[in-house]
Amino acid sequence: MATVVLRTIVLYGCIIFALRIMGKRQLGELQPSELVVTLLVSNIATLSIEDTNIPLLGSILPIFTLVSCEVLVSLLILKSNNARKILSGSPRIIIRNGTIDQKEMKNLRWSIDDLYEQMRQNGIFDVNEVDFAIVETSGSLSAYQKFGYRPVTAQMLNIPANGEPDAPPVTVISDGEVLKDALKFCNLREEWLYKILQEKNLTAHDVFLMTADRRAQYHIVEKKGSKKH
Amino acid sequence: MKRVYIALAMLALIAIACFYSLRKVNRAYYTLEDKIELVYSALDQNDRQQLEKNVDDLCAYWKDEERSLVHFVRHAQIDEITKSIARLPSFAKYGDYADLSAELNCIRLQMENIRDSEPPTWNNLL
Repeated sequence: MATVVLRTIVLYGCIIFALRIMGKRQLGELQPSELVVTLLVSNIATLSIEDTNIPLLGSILPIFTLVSCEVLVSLLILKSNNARKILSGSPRIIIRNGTIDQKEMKNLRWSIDDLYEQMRQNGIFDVNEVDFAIVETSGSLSAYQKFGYRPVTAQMLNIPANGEPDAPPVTVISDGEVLKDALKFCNLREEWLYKILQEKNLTAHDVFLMTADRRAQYHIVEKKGSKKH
Repeated sequence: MKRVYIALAMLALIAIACFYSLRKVNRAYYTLEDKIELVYSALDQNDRQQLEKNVDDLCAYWKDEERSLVHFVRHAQIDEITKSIARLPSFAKYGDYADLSAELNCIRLQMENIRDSEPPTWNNLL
C-alpha cells in the first residue's frame, strides 16, 4: 500500500510540473490539442497508480512526452497560420450583420438553445441586440452588440481620465504577509506601509488583506480575532 | 520560449532513457542467452558439477539484473522469468534434466519476447 501511496505522490508531482510547463492557457479554455493531452495525461497517470505491475517510468515518460509535444505544437501554432488552422481550427461567424447564419450553425452542430445559452453567458438575452457573433476555436461565443446596446464608456461620454493611474489595486498584505513585489508595482515603500499600519495601530500580522494602488489609496481588512497593539 | 527549451530538454532526456532501456534489455537478453548456452553445454557434457555451478551463476546474474529491469519492463513479465529461474537449481540438483531443458527454453522465449517488444519496430507500433 505504501508503494501505491508513494507512486501516487510522485505522479501527482509530475502532473503538477507537467501542467505548469503547459502553461496557464491550459487551465482556462482548452484548445483541441490541449484537451487531448489533458485526457491522456489523466488516463496514463491512473494506469500506473492502479497497477503496480507497470513501472512508474512507464507513466512518467509518456506524460512528459505528451506535454513536450504539446508545448512544441503550441509553438508551431504560434508561428504558423496554416498549422493554427489545421490543429486549432478557425473562429466561425454565426451572426453576421444581425442575421443568424443557419448553415454555419448546422456545420457547427449548434442548436438555438446552444446559441442562447452562450449569449446569456455574455449577458445578452435577445438575439436582436447582436451585430456579430463568433464561435471561437475553444467553443466559446464572442458577441459584438449593435451600437444601441453597447455599454457606455467614458470615451463615449468624453469624460477625462483626471490623472487616474492606469493600474488596478493590488494585494500588498495577504494573510499577514507583506508582498514586496506588489509594493514595488505600486511604487510604494515599505516605510509607507508600516506608517499606515502604525497609524491604524496594527501590525502586518493583524491584517488579513490590504490592497493599494499607485495613488497610495488603500483598503484594509483586519484578521478576525486579531489583537490591536 | 523558456517552456520550449524545457520541453526540448525533456524530450532529449526521454530519448536518452529510451535508448538506455533498449540497451539494457538487449544486454540482459544476450547475457542470459550466453548463460543459458553454458547450462545447455554442461547438460550435453553430462557434467553435473559444472551444470549446478552454471545454473547458480545464471540465478545470481538474474537476481542482479532483475532489480534494474523492473524500471523499464512490466513487472509481470519479469516475475514470470524469476519464477522459472527459481525452479532451475532444484531441477539441476535432482537430475530432472528434461524439465530443466524445458524451463531454460521457456526463459529464453520470455526474455526474447521482452527484447522484441522494446524496439520501436513497425510491428510493435501497430
